[in-house]
Amino acid sequence: MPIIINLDVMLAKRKMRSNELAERVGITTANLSILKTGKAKAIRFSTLEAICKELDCQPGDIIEFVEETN
Amino acid sequence: MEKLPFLRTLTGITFILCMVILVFAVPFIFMALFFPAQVPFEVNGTKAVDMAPEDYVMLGVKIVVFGIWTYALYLFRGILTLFSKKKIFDDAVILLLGNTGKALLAGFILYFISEFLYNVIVENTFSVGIGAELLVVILALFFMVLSEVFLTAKKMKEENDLTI
Repeated sequence: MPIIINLDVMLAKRKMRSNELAERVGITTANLSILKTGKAKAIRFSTLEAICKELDCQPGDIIEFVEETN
Repeated sequence: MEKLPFLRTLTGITFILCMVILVFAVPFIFMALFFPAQVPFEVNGTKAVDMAPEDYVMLGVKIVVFGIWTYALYLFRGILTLFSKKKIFDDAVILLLGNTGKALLAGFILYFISEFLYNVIVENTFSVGIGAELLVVILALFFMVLSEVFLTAKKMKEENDLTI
C-alpha cells in the first residue's frame, strides 16, 4: 500500500513505548501493532486526533504517501 | 439463536430419514432390474415386471436427484453446525452455502431434463411446465446469493476489524 505509517519514528522521537501510547490513546496494544505494521485498512479521525495529541505532532508526521514503483 | 438447535435437530432427522430411503432405494432398483417378480409392491401403480427399461432409467434418475438433494441437506447441516459454533463469517460457511445452492440446482436441472426427455421420447408429449420444483430453484439461488452476501459481509467485517 502506498500509505506508510511512521508511528515507530514518532514514538522513537518522543521516547515513548507502544503500550504507553496505546494506554493513553485508549486503544489496545494489538490494534496499535496493526497500525504500526501497516496492516490497518483505515484509521478513525478520533484515533488519529488522540495519537497526534499524545505525540504532539501532525497527521502528516505519522502518515506518509509514497508512490508505488513497479 | 434458540431456533438454531431446533432447526439443526429437524435437519438431522430429515437427513437420517433421507439416508434410510437412499439405502433401501439403491438395492431396490437392482432388485427390480434383475428380479422384478420378487418386488412385493408397485412403483407408480405399475408392477416391477411390467416396467419398461425407460421406467427404470427414470426411477434411477429420480434416485440420483434424491441423492443430490440429500447431499444438499448434508451440506446445510454442516452450515448449521458451524453457526452453532459461532462461526458465521467463515470461509467454510461461504463455501458450504454456495455448494448447497449448486447441489440443489444440479438436482433440479437433472430432474427437469430427464422429465422433459421422458415426456418427449416415451410419452410423445411436449410440455414445459414449472410447478413446485420452481421452489427448489428459488431456494438454490437463495443459497447462492446468501453465499455472496456472506462473502461481502466477511470482507466488511475484516475491514471493520482492521479499522483502528
